[in-house]
Amino acid sequence: MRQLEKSLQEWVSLRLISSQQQQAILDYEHSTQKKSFVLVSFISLGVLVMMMGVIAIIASHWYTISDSTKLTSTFLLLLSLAVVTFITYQRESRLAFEALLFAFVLLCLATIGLIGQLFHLSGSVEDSFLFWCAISFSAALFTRKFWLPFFWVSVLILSVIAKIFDIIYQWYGFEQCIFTMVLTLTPMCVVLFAILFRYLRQIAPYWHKAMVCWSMGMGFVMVIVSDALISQSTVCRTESYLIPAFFLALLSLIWVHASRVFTPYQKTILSMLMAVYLLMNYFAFFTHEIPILGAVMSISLFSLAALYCASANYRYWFHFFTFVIAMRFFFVYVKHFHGLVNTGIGLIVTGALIIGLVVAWKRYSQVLLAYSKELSR
Amino acid sequence: MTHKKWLFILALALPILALLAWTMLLTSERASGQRVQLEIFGYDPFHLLQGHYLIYRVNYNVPGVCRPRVEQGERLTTPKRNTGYVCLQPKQFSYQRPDPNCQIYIRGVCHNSRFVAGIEKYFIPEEHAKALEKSVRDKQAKIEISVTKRGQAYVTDLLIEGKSWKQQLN
Repeated sequence: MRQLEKSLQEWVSLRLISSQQQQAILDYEHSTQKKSFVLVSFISLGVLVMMMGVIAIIASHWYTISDSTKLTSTFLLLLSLAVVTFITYQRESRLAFEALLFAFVLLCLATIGLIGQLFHLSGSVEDSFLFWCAISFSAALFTRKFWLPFFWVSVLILSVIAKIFDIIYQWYGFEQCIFTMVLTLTPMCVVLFAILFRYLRQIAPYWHKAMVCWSMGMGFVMVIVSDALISQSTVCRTESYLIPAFFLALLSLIWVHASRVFTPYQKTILSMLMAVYLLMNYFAFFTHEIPILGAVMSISLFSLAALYCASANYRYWFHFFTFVIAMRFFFVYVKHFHGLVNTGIGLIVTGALIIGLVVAWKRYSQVLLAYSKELSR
Repeated sequence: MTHKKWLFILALALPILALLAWTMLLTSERASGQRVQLEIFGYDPFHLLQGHYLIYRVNYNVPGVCRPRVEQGERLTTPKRNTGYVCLQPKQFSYQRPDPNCQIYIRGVCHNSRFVAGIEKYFIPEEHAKALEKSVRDKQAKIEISVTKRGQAYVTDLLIEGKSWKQQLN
């Protein structure tokens, strides 16, 4: 508040706002003043310490407490938490509701763990997580914040990947071509899910955003992996294992071109992005080592991704990708001129390059952002 | 109350009911099953104890468990994972559901010639972990299981020299 008052005084002295506007802003801020951050933090800390105390008491008497007592108290706790969550939902205390809802779904996960322990079940961790995803989805749909959908989507994606790898391993052993196929397929599947969740934006606004985050993240990881593998020997010799990924990419592109959401410029960029991505997967897994191609393809992909993010107004992702491009350029330099780094002149050149890249990134990223936005209109 | 609030109540009730139903199913299956005791042994002295549970191998004392699957004289190479049935009375193993002569059987999966029935893990308290690990390795250890009519097995107790591990430690 003090910072705001100082800023307002400065703006009035610069005649950016009038003193009436200053007073109006201050009145509004006083009327809608949030609870003290320090107060909320200390109360939260107190609750956390109490909860840790309860857990410590239970843990120290764990084997003297009967199974039925453990189960009954857990279900009572679940029920109480559900009731309190509902009360905060009715009262529209947004922050408390979100925190309690998250606590509720986490307690569901803990209950699955407890049941597994009490009945000595030998199921896998991913099975428990998938079960949790199924039962907690309905409650999680009511959130109006980003963190719960992101957590839920993360658990789902990681569990599905673990499950698929487990099934493949159990049925076929370590078959490199099949693992390659799954690796190339996974980001495509996440992209398709992101597309599906786009239609649910009205009822679940943050789920699409969480899926987009994961699509970007998984795509990024796959590009890094492919970049590293291009300079290695062939992983799989049968190119037909790339067909499923190609098919899913085609499906996504058909949807992109049929959709009215994207501008013609964005459609072109997305098509190019998908084509280069598939090509990179092909070179990474199915061909012999090609030294410089990895850097060329990853820089091309990150450039396309940055252009798309600029046109779609994903500012953070745009800055992230431009930063990654600069970093990749730097690694190419270090790899091919590493002898220079050891000498005095080499270190000066390297330092100048770092400063140059940062300055260029700072100066031209905004220009590129504006230019790309202009093109997408 | 509005339509949306009712939906929210339903959304909160769904996981509780699902967990409750699962617990009740497990409780009733474990309670109604037939009790059997089976010998266990640690198969890897370095990894017998993982976290707060013991993992072990079960000695079914049945010949030919997870033998290579042969049908009409031809050995099947795939899949690597087959559902198998260990009949405890009379003692025999088959890849088909046992006939009514078999009074009690356990359903599991043959994976890499190992029969896995979901009873290969027992949760234990951390402070007694080392002592129990030693007991399982050095003494005669058994698990008590409850087997349903459909062949689903649940572990009910860990026995060291015939006594429950809790009594053994006391």
